[in-house]
Parts: sequence; structure tokens; C-alpha cells
Amino acid sequence: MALYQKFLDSIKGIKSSLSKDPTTMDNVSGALAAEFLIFVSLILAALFLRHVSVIASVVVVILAAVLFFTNMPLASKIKSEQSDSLEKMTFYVMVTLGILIAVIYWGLKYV
Amino acid sequence: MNYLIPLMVVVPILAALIVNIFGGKDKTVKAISLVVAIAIPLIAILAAVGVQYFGGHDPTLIASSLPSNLVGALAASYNTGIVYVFENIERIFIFLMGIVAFLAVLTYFAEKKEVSGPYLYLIFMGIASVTALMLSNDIFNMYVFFEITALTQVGIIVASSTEDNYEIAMKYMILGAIGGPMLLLGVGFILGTIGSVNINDIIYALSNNFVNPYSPGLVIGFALILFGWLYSAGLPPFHTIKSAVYSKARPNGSAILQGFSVLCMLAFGIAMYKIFAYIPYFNTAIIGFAILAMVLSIAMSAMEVDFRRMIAFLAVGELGFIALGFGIGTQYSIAAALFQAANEIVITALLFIGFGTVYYLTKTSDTRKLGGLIAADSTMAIMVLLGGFALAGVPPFNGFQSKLMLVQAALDAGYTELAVLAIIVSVVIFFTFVKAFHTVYLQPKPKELKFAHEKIPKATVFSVAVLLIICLVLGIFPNIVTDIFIPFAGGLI
Repeated sequence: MALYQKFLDSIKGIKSSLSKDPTTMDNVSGALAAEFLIFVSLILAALFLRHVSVIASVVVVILAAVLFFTNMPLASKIKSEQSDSLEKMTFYVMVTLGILIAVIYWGLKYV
Repeated sequence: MNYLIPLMVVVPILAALIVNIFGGKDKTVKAISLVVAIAIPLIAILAAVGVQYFGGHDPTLIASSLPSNLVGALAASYNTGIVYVFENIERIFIFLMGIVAFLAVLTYFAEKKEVSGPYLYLIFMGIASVTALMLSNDIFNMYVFFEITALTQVGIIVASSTEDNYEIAMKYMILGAIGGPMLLLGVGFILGTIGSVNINDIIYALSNNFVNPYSPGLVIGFALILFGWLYSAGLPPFHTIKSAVYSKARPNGSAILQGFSVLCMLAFGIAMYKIFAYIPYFNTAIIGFAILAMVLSIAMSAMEVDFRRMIAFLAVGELGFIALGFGIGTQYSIAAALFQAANEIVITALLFIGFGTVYYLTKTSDTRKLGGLIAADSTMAIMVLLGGFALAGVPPFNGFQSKLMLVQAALDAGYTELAVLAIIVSVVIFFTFVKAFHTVYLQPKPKELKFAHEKIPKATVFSVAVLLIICLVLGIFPNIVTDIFIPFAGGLI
């Protein structure tokens, strides 16, 4: 029941955080679809890690599930992070570049 | 020697220069543009498969005149000039891009009475660049033409005269100032390590152990080229700016821009696959970015209220399917990725031009202000709906065939979770599209909605119909292209 309540609260959260415009069936249904898509897809992506390491996959799936449930609604947070703000876009570009260089350069030393 | 191969690049460059010179003389510009736009796909069909060595640098001729002490050395096998390779796969993609460009130009002429020389210059220059990118077997040459493509993309947005277009163009240039140089730096590392930028030479040097495949220069080169590939394709973290770019161009311009992105993604993706597929977790990295592209872009499109931005996000999300096929890394999955790429060029162009008619009629793309447009032109509405079905993977359209291939390939490779993920994302694409279609076409027309134009030009209807026919033909007879893609993919792995 606590889980159900948590889910209901998250839907209310989506509704309030989407925009100040009048809430319509369209934008609520869109946000809900996005929420489910993000949740299910990222859990599936975590499951994909089983091809690299089964233990890592189990740990990541559990961690991801806990993290997602405690941080719902995800869709509106992801939407706010993917705005057209140059600062945010540059930030993610630099983070990706840093991760790629670090993981590929140092990671391949241990292969 | 097949002179039609370089002509595929030369003709659009010449056209670009000529239409710019004749800018202002509308009839002349229109005539030249249409002739060239028809000529581009025609040349792709007529050209024979072959290799073009620029500057007479045929390696077999050079090898026969080398001093005896160089025979058998690594340098003796290197290509000393730029090489274009034209196979049937290039034929398909250049042909499809040419068709999309022709229909987009036709739509542009029908919707705008006074044509812009610079706008057409940018379109033709972009076509020349992506064609060269597809043909080139040289990663530095590819980089050069990619940069020209990126600049023409910026130019097309600026020349589109839409709201906030300058701002988005500037942001794309700033982010490109990170992505482009990183790509060049990666090419530089490869050149420094191997001594050549020709893809065949790099593969030869690696496969014959002339260089350590895990040397730091090569590894960093791979990381930087992978990053550059993300930028060129518009995969995360560049998906937001790429979708903004699509949504700020004129609909006919967006149709061309998304084609450019697909070809850039393919050209660099194939080159990366040829050179770096031996690197551990290469496929895992590609799959990671593919999943992010699909999930983030499609989730964003589901929440979008601006239909141009929604289609833009859907287009970027579809790129994730292409990357997924490459990431799975089997012959069948790579063939599916290539098929998906061919389909995306056509389907997304259809949706940009088709949905663009709504913008043409009402001058708004906010779905909250739209409704009842099926009454304006029911034929166009049905064609757009069918285009959306093709995008979502509904039979009998081409999107269904390529996505089915992709799901089968994922299952065959043991990636059940990726197959499920691809299906879920397709379902959300279907939902998003139907939601937008209902809002724009089927719900009651708002009282305050005003029409800027009463009718959709016949040329636009014709363009969408041609694209829909291509979708249907490729859906019913997928072997027209898969018979070429499957052997090519077999040679790649």
C-alpha cells in the first residue's frame, strides 16, 4: 500500500511540475507514458549489464529500482535537464567527453 | 575509371555556386535547382560501382614504380591520395538523400514565391558534403566534409527565418566548437600513430601488427572519434541541440537536415566499425548511447506540446534504433541498422513535410492551439497518419520491416532485454504520434485558430505521396535493399 501511495503521489508530482498551463489529458498522458518509458527502459538497460557482469547487473538493477522509486517523478526532472539551456547542454557534453576519455583510456589498460 | 563518382559531389557544389550567383532571378534559380535536384539521384543510379583515386594516385600503379628497398614496406601499401569508394550501399543512401532533397526543394518552391539563393546554396552544399562523406575512404577527408555539413546545417537554420532560429544556430555552433575539434584531434591521434588517414591503410596496419592496437594514441583516438560520432549523429548528449536544430528550420529544411544527420552517423559509424571493432566493449558503448538516445528522446517527445519539436525528438530517437543495430554487432543487426537508416531518411522527411503543412496553414506548431485540421485537407491528414504508422513500425510499412529485423537480431544475439526495449520504445512512439495526430487533426477546431493559407500546395501533397509510396514499397519488398545490406554487413564484421 505504501508503494501504491508513493506512485499516486508521484503522479500528482508530475502534474504539478509539468507546467503552469492548464493540465490537459494530453500532457498528463504524455508525462505518464514518459515516466513509464524511462522507468522500464532504464531497468532493462541495467539488466543488459548481465552480459558484462551478472553481479554488477543485479546490484545496478536493485540500486536503480530504489533510486527511481525514491526520486519519482523522473520524467519532469529529465525534462528540466534537457532544456535548450546552453549551460546544461555544455555541462552534459563535457561530462560525457570526460567519462569517455577516462573510461576508454584507463579502462583499456586493464583489459 | 568512373567519372560519375566524383560528379556526385561536383554537380551539387556547382549548383550551389550557380544558384547563389543567380539569387534574385527566381525562374532561373528554380529551373537550375530542379534540374540538379533530379540529376543527383539519377547520377547515383547510373554510376557504376567502383573506386576513384584522386590525382592519379592509384596504389597499384605507384607500387610498380617503387624502388626495390620499399617493396613490401608498410608505406608502400599506403594510399597517397584521397579515395572515393562507391558501392551499392552508397548508391542507396545517396539516391534516397537525393530524392528527399528534390522533394524538399519542390515543396520549398511551392510554399515560397520568392526563393532565396543563399538558402538553396546551403542545401546543395550540404548535399555535396554528405555525399562526399559517404564516398570518402579517408577519415580526415570525412572530417572536412562533416564540418562543411555542420556549417550548412547552421546556415539552413539561420536562413529559415523562424522564431529563435539565430539562438539555436549559435548554440549548435558553440557545441560544435567542442565536438568538431575533438573529432579532428581523434583523427590526428590516428594519423600520428599509424601515419595514414586512409581507412584501408589503417586496417592494413592494424591487422598486420605494424602498430600496437592498444597504443595510447589509438585508444585516445578512438575515444575522441566516438565522441565526434555522437556529435555528428546527434546522439546523447547532443540530442537536445539536434532536436532544437530540426525544429527551428523550415519543414522542408528539417527534412533535409535529418537526412544529413543519418548519413553523417552512417559514414562515421561504418568507419568506426571497420577500424575499432576489435576494442573490448566497443559494442557495449554503442548500445549504451543507443539506449540513452531512444529513451531520452522518445520520453521528451511524449511530453512535447510543439509538434515540430516532437517530430524532431522522434527523429533523434529513431537514430537510437540505428545505433542499436550497430551495437548488437551481428550481420543481421547491422543490416537492420542500415535498413532502419534508409527508412528513417524517408519517413522522417515525410513527417517533417507532412506535418509542416499544418505550420504552413496556421503558422503555429503549438498543439494546444490547433485542432480540426482534417477538414482542411483530409488526404494530407491520412498520408501523415500513415507516415506516423511507418515511423512506429506498423505493417505493411518499411519501419515495421526494419524494426522487426532489429528485434529478431537482438533475440538471435541473446539480447532479450534489448528486443523488449525496442518494442516498448516503438509502442511509445506510436502513442506519441497518435496523440499529436488526434490533437492537431481530430479534436474540435479552436475558435481563435486563424489560417494563414487556405490550401496546401499540390507540390507538397505530391512530395508526401511520393515519400509514402517509397515507405510502402520498401515495406512490401524489403529485399530491394536488404539484399544489398546483408552482404555488406557480413563484410563489415
